[in-house]
Amino acid sequence: MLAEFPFLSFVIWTPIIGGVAVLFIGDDSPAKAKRLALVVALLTFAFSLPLYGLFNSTLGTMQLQELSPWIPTIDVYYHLGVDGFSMPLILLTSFTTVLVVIAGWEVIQYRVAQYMAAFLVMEGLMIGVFAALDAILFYVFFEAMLIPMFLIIGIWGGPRRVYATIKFFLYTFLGSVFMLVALIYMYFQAGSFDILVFHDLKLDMQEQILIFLAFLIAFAVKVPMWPVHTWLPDAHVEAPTGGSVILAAITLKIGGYGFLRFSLPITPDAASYLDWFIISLSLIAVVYISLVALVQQDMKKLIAYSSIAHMGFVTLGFFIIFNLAENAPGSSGIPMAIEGGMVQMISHGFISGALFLCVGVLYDRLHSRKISDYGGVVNTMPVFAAFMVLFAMANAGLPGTSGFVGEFMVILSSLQANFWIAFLAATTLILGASYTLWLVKRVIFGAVANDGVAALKDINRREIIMLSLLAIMILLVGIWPDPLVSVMHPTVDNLIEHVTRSKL
Amino acid sequence: MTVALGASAYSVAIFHLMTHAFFKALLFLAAGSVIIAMHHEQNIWKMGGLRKYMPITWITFLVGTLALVGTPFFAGFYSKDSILEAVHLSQTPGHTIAFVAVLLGVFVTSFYSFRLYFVVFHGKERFNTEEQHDTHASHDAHDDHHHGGVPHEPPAVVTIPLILLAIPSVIIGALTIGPMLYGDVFSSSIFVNPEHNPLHPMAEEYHGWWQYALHSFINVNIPAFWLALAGAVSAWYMYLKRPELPGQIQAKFAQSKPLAILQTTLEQKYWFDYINERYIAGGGRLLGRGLWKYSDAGLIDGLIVNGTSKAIGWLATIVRRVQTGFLYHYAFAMIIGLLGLLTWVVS
Repeated sequence: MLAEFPFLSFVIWTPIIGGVAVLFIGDDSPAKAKRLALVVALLTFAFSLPLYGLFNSTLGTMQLQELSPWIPTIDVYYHLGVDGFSMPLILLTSFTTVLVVIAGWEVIQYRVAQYMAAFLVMEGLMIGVFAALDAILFYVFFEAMLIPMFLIIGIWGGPRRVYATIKFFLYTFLGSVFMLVALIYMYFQAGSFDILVFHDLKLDMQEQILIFLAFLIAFAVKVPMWPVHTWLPDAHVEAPTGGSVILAAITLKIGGYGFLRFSLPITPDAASYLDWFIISLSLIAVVYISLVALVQQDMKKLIAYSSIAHMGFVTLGFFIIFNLAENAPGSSGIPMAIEGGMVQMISHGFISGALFLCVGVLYDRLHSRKISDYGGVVNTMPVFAAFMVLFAMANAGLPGTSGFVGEFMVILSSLQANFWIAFLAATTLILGASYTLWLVKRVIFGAVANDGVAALKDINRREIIMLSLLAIMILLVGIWPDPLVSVMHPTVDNLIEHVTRSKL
Repeated sequence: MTVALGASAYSVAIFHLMTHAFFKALLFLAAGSVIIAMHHEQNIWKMGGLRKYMPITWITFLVGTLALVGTPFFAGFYSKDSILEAVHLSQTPGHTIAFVAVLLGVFVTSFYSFRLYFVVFHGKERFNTEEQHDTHASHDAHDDHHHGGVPHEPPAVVTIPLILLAIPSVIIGALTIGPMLYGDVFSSSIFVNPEHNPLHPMAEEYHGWWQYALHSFINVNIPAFWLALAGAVSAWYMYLKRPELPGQIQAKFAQSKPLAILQTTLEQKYWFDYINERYIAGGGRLLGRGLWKYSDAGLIDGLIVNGTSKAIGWLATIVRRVQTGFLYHYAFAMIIGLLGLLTWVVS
């Protein structure tokens, strides 16, 4: 009976309707708006928790499905469902939104109700992207997501926010137009917009390659992959803390999720044919972007570049499987690569969110993101420094933190495919440690740099709660990743079956 | 330890790892005790004669030093001597070089350990009590027990661990050499090809810890004890008896070119740190900056992204001219267009 309850609809629409309600309270009583926003975020999180409990992790198929007609004339359905890929990402989204609401509590003074409402609506749309099983429904959520983010950066952003928003919008919009064309083409082939029907659609090689490239443009911009990544550092630098957290923790994952939901199962032959291309771009992301991260002078930019490098591992894990399937069929590396990529996505959601919150904590106090404006923060903010060092270690992939698990799984499976791919991927262990530890050294340690640092106040209870929640998740996934990995096993097997079966 | 591994004496390596843990931990904590007493001064040339002021640290430090240099009956003796013996008996290629190097190491270890010991705990008192008192008392007057003029023993939280570590630093080797090397401790976990195992001949000559220590005084093949003693005596002679000697030797070194080069090489740690900092770290930063400025900001953002928007803007300024707002311009264009279309359709 419990499984009949439309949980997915509830986690999508609770924050959207709640967000609209927050908007109606308006800026006349910001305290009330904040409280309602927190209640809505917590309620959504509460609705999302049963997804884990009700999810049957022995099955790789879609679960908790909901189906009702939406636009019957063009066969568009309101079709929802989750598998082992989307369920953890939905939980990550509802968890992160709670943190974002807490993070903006005292910091946002300007148009509080609208700020909170934008994040709640954003949450509903992002969960919609992960839960949609109808291509048009997916596309609507995918595009609608741009609007609240556009407003978040454009209204509460930094000095160059207009440039950053336009860049962000055009980049992502350009990508998704190609996807829409691919979806419509497949509709004419299959007579349905159901994503699961697309999975069984026969397509010849030329069709597959064109569809693959259309999806690639859409998702590569989201991930982002080199060379279509330059919107991300600008968007992060200009976005308010909460916007950066959502951007890094969730929206980047939509790109990775898109590869799993569309590119790999729908066009496996094209993906296999072009895997070298994606692997090269991923390795460039790992090495080139890590070096660029090393020399950044702005903390947010550094973490933004580090995000790109870490997401390189995700795409590497997803596309190394074709090499493995050819050279070592049936090897344990194939499921491990995909699971590694997924773990890396979840882990990066926690770590990058945590680091952006840390930068936010410092920015709220000194109104600077420049590394050179800090130094010796540990002397005045010891509790904060402890958190920041933990998150930095996680970002560098220290064993025992979640950052290690995904990277290690991907490196291990790449090693079964090709030594040099694994070697280049593993350079991130050195480069990642270099840029993160150097950041920590310059910001946290050393002598107290200036009067601003000397007058810093350590984090308050609200900030401790927010950072502790992330620290717990990072350590939990790092020490005991099995609850996360085991829900994915059957889904990964299901995906591999699709991917290794030719669609020609 | 790695020498023991090279000689296939794996149990000896672990035995040394264990004894070393006790006396090295003791030495670090005793050094910490001295540093606390000296108000975070770590320069040994600003210490000296400390044995009068901090007897517990002094004695435990001496115990640690004696254990470290391999004084018979102390913990370090049993493990170090077993390593020497294993290397001596080993047939691995290069074992002679290893043996000579390890013996030389015994002398050098003893020399530098006792140099440290003599300079810190004996000799002239080179610390300035007055100055210490002035600088610290002024801003921290109520905490005067921590910033007193004369150095003194730190509280029990520091000294008790020293005592607790000093005891095993003396006895742990004598106690465990039997079971660990010649007993059953590793019999189910370490397996060595019998032909390469130096412990077999060693076991034949082993007659208990007492005999083992006594034998070291008269062992002609492995004069480790005498080398250690020589190291300690030369340290005493150069740093207590005639403290001007090291400076004179250094001055001699500076006069001869090859020796001076040797000295600089050693002082610069073979330039490893320099190469690392200058070329590896610096090179990485240079590469990163290049990729960022030229590729990311220059090519991708400057040319492709912003270039596209500029190109569209430029195109728009040209196309915009067509929109003049004059009705007769539009009417004229329509007529021309109509004519063109008609010609095309008719022909």
